[in-house]
Amino acid sequence: MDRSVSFDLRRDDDLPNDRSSDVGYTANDRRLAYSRSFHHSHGPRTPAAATKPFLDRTVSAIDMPPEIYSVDGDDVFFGGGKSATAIGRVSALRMVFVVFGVLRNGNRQMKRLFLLISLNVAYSTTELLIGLLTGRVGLVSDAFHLTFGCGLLTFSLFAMATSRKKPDHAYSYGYKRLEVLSAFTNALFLMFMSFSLAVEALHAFIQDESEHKHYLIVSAVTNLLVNLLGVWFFRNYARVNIVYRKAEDMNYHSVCLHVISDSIRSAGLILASWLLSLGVENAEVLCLGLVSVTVFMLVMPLFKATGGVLLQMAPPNIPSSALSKCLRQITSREDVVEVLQARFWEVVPGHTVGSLRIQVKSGIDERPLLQYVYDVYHDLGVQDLTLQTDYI
Amino acid sequence: MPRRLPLAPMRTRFTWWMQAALLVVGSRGCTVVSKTRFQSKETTMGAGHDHGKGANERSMWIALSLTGSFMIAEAVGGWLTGSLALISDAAHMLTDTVALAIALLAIRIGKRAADRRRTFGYGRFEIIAAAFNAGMLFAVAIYIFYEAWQRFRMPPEVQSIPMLVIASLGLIVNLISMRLLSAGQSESLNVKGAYLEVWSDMLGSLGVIIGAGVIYLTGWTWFDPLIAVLIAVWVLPRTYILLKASANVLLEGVPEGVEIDKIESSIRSDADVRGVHDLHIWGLGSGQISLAAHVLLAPGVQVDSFLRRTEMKLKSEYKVTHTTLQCEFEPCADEDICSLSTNVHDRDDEHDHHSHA
Repeated sequence: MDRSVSFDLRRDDDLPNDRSSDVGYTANDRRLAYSRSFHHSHGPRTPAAATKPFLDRTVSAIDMPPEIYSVDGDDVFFGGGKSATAIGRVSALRMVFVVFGVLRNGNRQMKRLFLLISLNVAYSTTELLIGLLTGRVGLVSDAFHLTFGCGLLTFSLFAMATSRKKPDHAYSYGYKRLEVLSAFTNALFLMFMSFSLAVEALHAFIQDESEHKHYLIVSAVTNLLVNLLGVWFFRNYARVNIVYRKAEDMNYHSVCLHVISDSIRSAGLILASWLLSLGVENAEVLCLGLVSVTVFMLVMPLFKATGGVLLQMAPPNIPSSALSKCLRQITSREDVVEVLQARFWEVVPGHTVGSLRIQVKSGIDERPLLQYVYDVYHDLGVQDLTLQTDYI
Repeated sequence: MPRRLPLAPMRTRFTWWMQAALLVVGSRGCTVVSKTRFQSKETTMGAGHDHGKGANERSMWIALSLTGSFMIAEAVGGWLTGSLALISDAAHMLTDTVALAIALLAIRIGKRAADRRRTFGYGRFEIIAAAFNAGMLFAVAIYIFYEAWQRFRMPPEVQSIPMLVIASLGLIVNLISMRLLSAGQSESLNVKGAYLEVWSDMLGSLGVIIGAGVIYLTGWTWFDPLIAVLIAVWVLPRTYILLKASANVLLEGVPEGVEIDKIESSIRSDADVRGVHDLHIWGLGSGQISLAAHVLLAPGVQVDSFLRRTEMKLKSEYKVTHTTLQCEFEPCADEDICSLSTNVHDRDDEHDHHSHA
């Protein structure tokens, strides 16, 4: 339990992202991804599935190994028309239903997040009121910042709730991608926070006079405590580089990074106040700058990963060598003339979609070819494949 | 009292860094990854559909240079004369410039050809730029509320005449930019985002001028923050719409105005078709719609002509530009996850349709 948050700041080039290993298929890389992620968690606590057997090479990616981050057992289907909302159809009544739905049906993480959000809302409202009444601008601006953060966390919660819905006529791939979007938004907000802190540090550096804001210790300490509680809730995701296996991974990771960054920020403010009281010059600049850089480095991998999924980039867990190998295998068949188009992207991490167009000689039976192509890509972990055969 | 002094610098600094972040993220692909080795007839996203794009880019460049030069002139003038008002107005123009620059950057990146890691090309960058601009606007509107509250507590001074002249010049520049951008805003979310930004800035300038006039005539100092709040309230719904539209694309939703049921029945209405399943429709950004489906055909159908027919129909009637249709002659064992299951489909030879393992 005293496992400190591991700030894995070194660039993790070992992830299967850019490895073009011609040794074998991705199954190998997945295995290595597992072992690497285990080695990273240096501490007394290792994920529960450490002793489980690694992925067998013949097992396809569909049979995903047990979730190593699972904390909760009650993954109840959240839904029913009553409490799930489609994006855009927002109304106050629906929100109330969503809240009740979360409290009743949500899994443990969702309930924890809800508790976190309510704590934050309560705290920021009191801060806002106090700031308005006493006229302290610093408190009000801090309250605004917190409210923004709360809004984002609420969006994350909403994403968790909505992602259980089945695909419908408005979203043919379902709603899971909302979790990726919310993770991306969180990451964006954190980057913005990092930059604004850097600007503040610069501002303090340039000003260089006695306009030192005496940050309210009480406010910062309360903020820190609330956020540390959040870190505890999401402690499984308290890492910089995570191999994302499902959509929720990204969302939980972003929430965890959010609370970590907030707690770092509060800790930085407390440290700055203490150093200022000790008489250290430019304590603000140092602390704010440090916090800004740390948050930036923490958030960058998440930002890039979620951005990549949203931009429909090729799945990072399938190396391009494997993809080109598959293409070579297909073109090596005698009935295939050439591959016109091969596109792969991830709807959510773990769910890869591909669409292929190949040109085949006319008059052949395409069913064995279809089967062959499906098998080839099945091994890679491409779940949905649409193959169009153009005859010459 | 300078026009919106606390507002502008905050906007400018963070947007500049955001642009840098976007640049870093976006340019990583082109330096590292090589093009595909196999013969691919895949063309870039922009190439085939380029008709409007060139005009868009051109008008954006013009708007960008106009705003940029005005901003530089203001900044230099403000620095020389020491007028805080000029500098704040220059900072204000800077936000517009940055928004336009982001939009342009997204267009340029979007033109890059697809490569092995970005098999769809870079078109999605435009959507992210649009979403980013919308988000920025949203944050700015919130900030305007906050600042209006501050102004209520401490009413600002009356505007001076030279300041008003500069504000009107800025308004003219904004109007010209708006005119240039309004053509493209219906087809590209990206252009719409930039247009929205310029539009809100134009409203701001207008509000400042009107507010100054009213305050001068009547002395109601609360009019200025009131106008600011009204403008923010006016801008918010359009920002929300833009955000929703870009979120829809990013979430692979069925594009607005497209009815998936209609398309399905249209495919089914073809005489050769026995069934359609696994139908997915999503937008690639900037008006391009993709479709992927498994189609069960009657035995002995000419796949070639069917494909051509259906593609033409989809393109002409529903503007679906990218289609991938998997033609099958045997129904799948499980319609929901056709060929997805780990059970190998036992496919008999061509003339025996109905036996499955």
